[in-house]
Amino acid sequence: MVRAWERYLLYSLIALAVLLPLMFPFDVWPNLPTKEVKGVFDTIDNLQPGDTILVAVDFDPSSEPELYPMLLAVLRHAFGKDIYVIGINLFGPAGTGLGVKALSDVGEETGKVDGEDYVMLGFKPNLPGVISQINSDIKEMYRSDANGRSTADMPILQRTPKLQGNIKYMVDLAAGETVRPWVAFGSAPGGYPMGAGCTAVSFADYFSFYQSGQINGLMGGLKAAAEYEELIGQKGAASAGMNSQSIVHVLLVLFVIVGNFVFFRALLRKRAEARGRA
Amino acid sequence: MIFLRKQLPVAIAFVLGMFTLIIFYIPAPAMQGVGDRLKIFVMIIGAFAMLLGINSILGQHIEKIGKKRSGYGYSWVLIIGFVAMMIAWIPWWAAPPEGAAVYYPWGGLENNKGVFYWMFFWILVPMQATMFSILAFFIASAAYRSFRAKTLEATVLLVAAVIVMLGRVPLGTSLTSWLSDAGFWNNLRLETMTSWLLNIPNAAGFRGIVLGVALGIIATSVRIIFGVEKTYLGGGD
Repeated sequence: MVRAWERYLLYSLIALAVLLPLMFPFDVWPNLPTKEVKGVFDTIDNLQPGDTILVAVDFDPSSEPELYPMLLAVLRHAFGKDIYVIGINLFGPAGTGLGVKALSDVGEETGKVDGEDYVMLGFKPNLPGVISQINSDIKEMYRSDANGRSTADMPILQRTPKLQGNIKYMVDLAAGETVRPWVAFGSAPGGYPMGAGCTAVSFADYFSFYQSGQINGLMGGLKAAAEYEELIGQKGAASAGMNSQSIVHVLLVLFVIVGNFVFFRALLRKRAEARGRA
Repeated sequence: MIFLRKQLPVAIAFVLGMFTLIIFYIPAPAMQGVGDRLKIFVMIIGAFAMLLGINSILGQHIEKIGKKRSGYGYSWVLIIGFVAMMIAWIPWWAAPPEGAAVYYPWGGLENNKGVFYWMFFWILVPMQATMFSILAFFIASAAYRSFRAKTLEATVLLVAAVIVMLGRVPLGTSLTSWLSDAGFWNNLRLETMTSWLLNIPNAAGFRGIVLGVALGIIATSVRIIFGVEKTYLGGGD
């Protein structure tokens, strides 16, 4: 049973641990890139200018704080190397807007042209069906892009009419269960390598895919996004959030320790009282 | 009527189920083309399911407002939000402005000064992100009041959770960064322990779950194809 003042204290400490490092940024703890994140980075880094990658924006605004910085970092890396990007969203309708914004913002930063250097295909239901179809023909499934433009004469889709044999890499930024269908219906039959990014809570779920080699890189949560920012040398929202996340994690560990201390102290006191009565 | 409600759906499920199963093993382009067409049908049905969902949620909330049930004010918020977002997104069949593909009178996604863009990025996105962020407070509260080392299993879970929580943030990993990153001492670094927990016990457990789920899906699919499982036809006789 948590008393009201304890709850207020816990919530206030968490709020301060999140807000203060964001308001007064500092750079003390190094965020060294892990080999899982390097897997995605190295694959994109080794591509040639003019290659095309697919980025699946399979998340909605609820996961935006973790996955949007990851999306921006991957796009900055790809556009910086003159790699074409096809964006797609098969998770939910709200993800399309995030994909359009990220592509147009980073496209504008790097001087890329919509329809020529990148395109955001919209949302369609039935993930396995859509993936299988675009493996063999993108324009058959997407007659128009997310902005309603016809894909018939779009230069990027003229160069890449289908995923199979045309794209060099695929990254799924997933808030839900989309990595598995992308592996089963996209990457494996299509023969293109795949990497994934996910929220921190899903990281453990997807680790077996990384371990088996079905995905060659895995980015988990804000930490991985910060590592990617570190690798491309452009610190952004993820790096700014790492101090908050570090302090909150340590605070949670302290809460667990204090909670157990209080629990066992009460238990021992109760036992002592019972012995006294006996 | 029983033919339309029971036998026909089971027959369709059997024929199409067997057909898609068989063509999976026939790599001929013609067969794959037919398979792709069938997948488009699934997509169309999925779109209708979305319409049914909209109908269901609106129906429920309209009924709640009609009967003035407790909290019916929130139903108004839902309906007004739904209608406002939908109207803002509807394109008009007028000639689009130069450079645009479709004429959205209230902006669409391309126009960052439009109403839809504003509502999407300054109402929907922050609200959904806020809902998710509130989890931090719940987790803090749960960590304090529920995460107890009452049993051996709970203690193992607790220790593993603490290691992973610390091993996944820069502050945590810097706590043991003074240990050598080679030889025995490397095993005691938090990031090494975290990596081991994720790579060995976690991956083993999760792989078991995935295989179990896959076998369950196969079994259920076979039951549906052969008409043993009929619950998808709905309740009643």
